Amino acid sequence: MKIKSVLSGTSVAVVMLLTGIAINGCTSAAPRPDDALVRAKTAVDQATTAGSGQYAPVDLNSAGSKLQSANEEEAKGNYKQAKYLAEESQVDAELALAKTQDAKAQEAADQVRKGNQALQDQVDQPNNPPLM
Amino acid sequence: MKLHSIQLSGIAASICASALIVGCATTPPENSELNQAQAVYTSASNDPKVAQAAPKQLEKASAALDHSMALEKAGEPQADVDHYAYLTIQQVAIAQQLADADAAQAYIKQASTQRNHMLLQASQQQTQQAQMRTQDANAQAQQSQIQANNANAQAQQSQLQADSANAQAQDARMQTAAATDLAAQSQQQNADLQQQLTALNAKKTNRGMVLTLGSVLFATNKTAMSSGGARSLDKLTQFMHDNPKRNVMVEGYTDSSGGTEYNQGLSSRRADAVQSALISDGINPQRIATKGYGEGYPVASNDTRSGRQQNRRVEIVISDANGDFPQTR
Repeated sequence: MKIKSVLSGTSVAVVMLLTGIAINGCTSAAPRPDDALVRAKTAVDQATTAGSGQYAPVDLNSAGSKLQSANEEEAKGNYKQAKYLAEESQVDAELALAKTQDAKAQEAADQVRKGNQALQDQVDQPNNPPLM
Repeated sequence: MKLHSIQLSGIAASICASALIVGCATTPPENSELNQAQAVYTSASNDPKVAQAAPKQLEKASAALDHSMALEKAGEPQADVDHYAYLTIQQVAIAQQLADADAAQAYIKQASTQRNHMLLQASQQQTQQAQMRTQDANAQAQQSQIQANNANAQAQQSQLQADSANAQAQDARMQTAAATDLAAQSQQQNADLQQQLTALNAKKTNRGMVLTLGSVLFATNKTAMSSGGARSLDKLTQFMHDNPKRNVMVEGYTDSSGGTEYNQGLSSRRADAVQSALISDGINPQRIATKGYGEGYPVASNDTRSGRQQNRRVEIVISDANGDFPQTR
């Protein structure tokens, strides 16, 4: 009986330990996500400078609001939530930047396409006034 | 008691653990964020353009997806799984945007090459047009040259014709001059002849020019010539030397004194005397014919002395230029 009692005490300790780990996993036990917040802000600034407010406003707005929420969550001590929001803000901003760069590239390609078309017309109908 | 408390503790711990497990590890619903992340990542990673354009983004997406799947497999909270799935989806979207931008850049590069090619083409076209214009101008110039050559040839031909015409004109002038000279000469000759005939006291009759050597030449019944008659013959001799084609017919006449037969003979002898005188002056005898007409063809009355003197005569008929006598008695 005494042995059994000792065993029971050990199993309880094990269960308690496991339970503690589980509780730690569910609740926020992460460090302050300062680095993630910095990276997110940098990305948002970069996208804004690149003109994403014009070319990818939805993604940029999402990034901006998530960054704001991230800062708020960090201030509340919800570090994990703040980290997630910061990471998502960063990829949203990066996507906004990529969309902006792509849109600009497409615009440039369109310009070149139109120019080439005009030039092709010139070549096809040499009697038109020269472009050059 | 102690055992009971232990059992209670165990039960409580079990309940607590069960509650935690239920709260953290719910089964993911269909079309969850993770499923979507898996789908877009698979699609993007199979696209070589995306793989080439954005390898870093695909790597991040892959890591986030692995993380999400691991969390889900470990039964971690849905929010965590969803978070990494979201990161996956966004990284894939970024990768696709980069691939699109790369394609646009590639198009611009290719279009620039095409543009340069077309510029070259346009330039060549302009060059060709210019060359064609130059060729046209050259052809026109050649045609003009040919026309000019033709004109020159025509001009040369005209010049030749003009030269020929000039030469002909010159010939004509020379011929005219020659003819004029000839005419002048002929006129001169005619004038000379006329002058000589006049000097001979020749008269134009229907038998031609007739020169009468008067009775002064001969005494009655004589054949010898007087000195004046001889001077008249000198002029005739000169005339016959100057006009070698002209012949003469020497005709003797008498008056009616004496018998007819005698007069016939006398007239012949007088004609012969003239012939002899001409021959002795160097005239070819073949150019001199003689004939005696006796007392025939009197030019005046034989009833008077002066008439008979006129009938005693020698008439010298001068032939035409061919030496012929158009008409004889």
